[in-house]
Amino acid sequence: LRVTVLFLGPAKDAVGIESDHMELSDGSRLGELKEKIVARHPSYAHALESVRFAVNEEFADHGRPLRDGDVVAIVPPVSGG
Amino acid sequence: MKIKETWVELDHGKILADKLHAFLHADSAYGGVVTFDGVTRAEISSTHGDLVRLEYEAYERMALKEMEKLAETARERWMAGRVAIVHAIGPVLPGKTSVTVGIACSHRAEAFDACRWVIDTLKKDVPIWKKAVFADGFTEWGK
Repeated sequence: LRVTVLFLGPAKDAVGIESDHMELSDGSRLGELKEKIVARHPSYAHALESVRFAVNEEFADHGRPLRDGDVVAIVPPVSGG
Repeated sequence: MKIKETWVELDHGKILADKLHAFLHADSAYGGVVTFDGVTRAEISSTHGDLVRLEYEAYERMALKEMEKLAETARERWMAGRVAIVHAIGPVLPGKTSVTVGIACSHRAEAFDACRWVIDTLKKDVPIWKKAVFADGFTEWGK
């Protein structure tokens, strides 16, 4: 399965790209995608500990199963208002 | 007649205060209208000089969905009638409004409580980020 990963706000500046595509084996969960992101962007591993994830525009936890075509957004601590 | 209406928007221009005011006051069933404006605070950094502006970015579609959820909760918990949540996107200069929350309820206590809860929760959960731009060009993401 293939997902799109979005790096939003501060994450985009930290990683240097706005989006990426990643391949995972069928049945993978969000936690496994996180491991892949750490492997591909090791300098962002520390910051990744304090972000939330959204799958298809809804907050999701690490146990969330992923499907082909999902859009996974990295949501760093927000600072609106 | 009580009309329940929501105005949720990410505004790329200027937040239209008089239109929001008219929206919140359009129904005489609501006796308490509370609005909160978040305003860019003038700031001076000892190393980078004056704050020139804040630049807001959003994950827009999700931000709008989350703002709709806030409005929905305000209705359920505080019987809010008219709810407005408008956030600026792009540059906001010191002294200018970056966010407005407006709540119209039957009575003031509910309107105050709902307004406070909406702005507090917006600042925790809605995917919007600000970057501070200083006089010497230094930029820093908000915390």
